[in-house]
Amino acid sequence: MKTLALDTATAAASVAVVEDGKMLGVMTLNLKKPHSQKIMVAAQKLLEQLELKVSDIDLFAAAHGPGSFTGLRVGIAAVKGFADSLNKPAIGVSTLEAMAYPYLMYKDLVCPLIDARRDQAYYAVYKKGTQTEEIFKADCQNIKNIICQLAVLNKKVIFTGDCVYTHKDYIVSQLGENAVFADELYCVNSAVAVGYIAEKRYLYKKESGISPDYVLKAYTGND
Amino acid sequence: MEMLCKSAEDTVLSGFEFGKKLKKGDVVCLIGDLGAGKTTFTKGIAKALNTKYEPVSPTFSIVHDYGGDIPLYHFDLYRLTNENDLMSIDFDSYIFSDGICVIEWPDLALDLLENYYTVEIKYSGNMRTINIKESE
Ligand SMILES: Nc1ncnc2c1ncn2[C@@H]1O[C@H](COP(=O)(O)OP(=O)(O)OP(=O)(O)O)[C@@H](O)[C@H]1O
Ligand SMILES: [Mg+2]
Repeated sequence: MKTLALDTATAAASVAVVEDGKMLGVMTLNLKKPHSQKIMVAAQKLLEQLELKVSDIDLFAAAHGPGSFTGLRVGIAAVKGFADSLNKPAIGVSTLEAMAYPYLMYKDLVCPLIDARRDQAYYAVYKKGTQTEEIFKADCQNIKNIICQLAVLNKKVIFTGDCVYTHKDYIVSQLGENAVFADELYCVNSAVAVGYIAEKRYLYKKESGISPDYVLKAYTGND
Repeated sequence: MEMLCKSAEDTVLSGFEFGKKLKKGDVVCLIGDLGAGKTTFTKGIAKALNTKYEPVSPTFSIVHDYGGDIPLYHFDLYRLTNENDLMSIDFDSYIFSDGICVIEWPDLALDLLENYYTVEIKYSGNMRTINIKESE
């Protein structure tokens, strides 16, 4: 089966096509603009280059949050639009779980961070067992609180995400050698894992359906 | 800095002069009653920034992006009721962007801003008194 996946949760807009657990193609635009409709054009271009029509796609997937509200609305609306018009299933995947996915094979804790500004981040903590376990549920907190919770675990943690390098010094000061960092090159969201996870969920768990999972941040003023 | 503007054209011109000083990341809060000339002043800023589109009253869409060498984001927060509404338009992603933000009816956002210009417009008839201050 073929899956078209979008990740528009962060400043990077990414579209990928995955087929039976393998990546056919991906296009990621790291525009650093507040939001972008360019993802639709990117999706069309990618399909064109892969010599596919939208009607060849069996499953549509998008990162459903957390992340930029506008970005999530754009991505989810696109996926719903495709799925509804072609009468195919649509499925939402956690942005954070998709970010963690490439690092789960190391069996350590993985903590993806998405910048929420004002020293806050959206985060969750995952570990690979027989399945992917969510050790800490997706939330938005001050970076100090997040790192403090991880420090008490006294375990190795792999960090990835768009604000990891902003906070790297602080994380190292608190976790020392327990902190491991994904290369900055790979701290840009990509839709490949979204497609891969979506496909697995759909096939093995018969899951489908998509709605945004906005995680609210606390606006506490300039404290 | 205080200026007297006798006509809408004067107000556009003072927006233009002010706009020439703006840099990436600057935030401008426009204070004044309905019809004071906030959008008119913004037209001058847009001219100075050489934007792709001309400002309109953004009341229906909360934020407009006029493009330009430095992007100009124009907000009208009049209809918003709380900070969650700000979150739902990704307010932070604009104010921490490389663009310039001009905000009409900024009350709801003031606590979230650090440094910003305040442009206060007072009026009687066609006369406008424009007062520009920089936050401490
Ligand atoms: N000296 C002046 N400066 C600015 N506007 C003037 C002046 N004299 C008359 N006007 C008129 O006043 C109106 C100002 O409207 P504008 O949309 O700029 O107000 P606003 O402060 O943005 O209002 P709102 O709060 O409804 O958004 C325009 O119709 C303009 O032509
Ligand atoms: Mg106006």
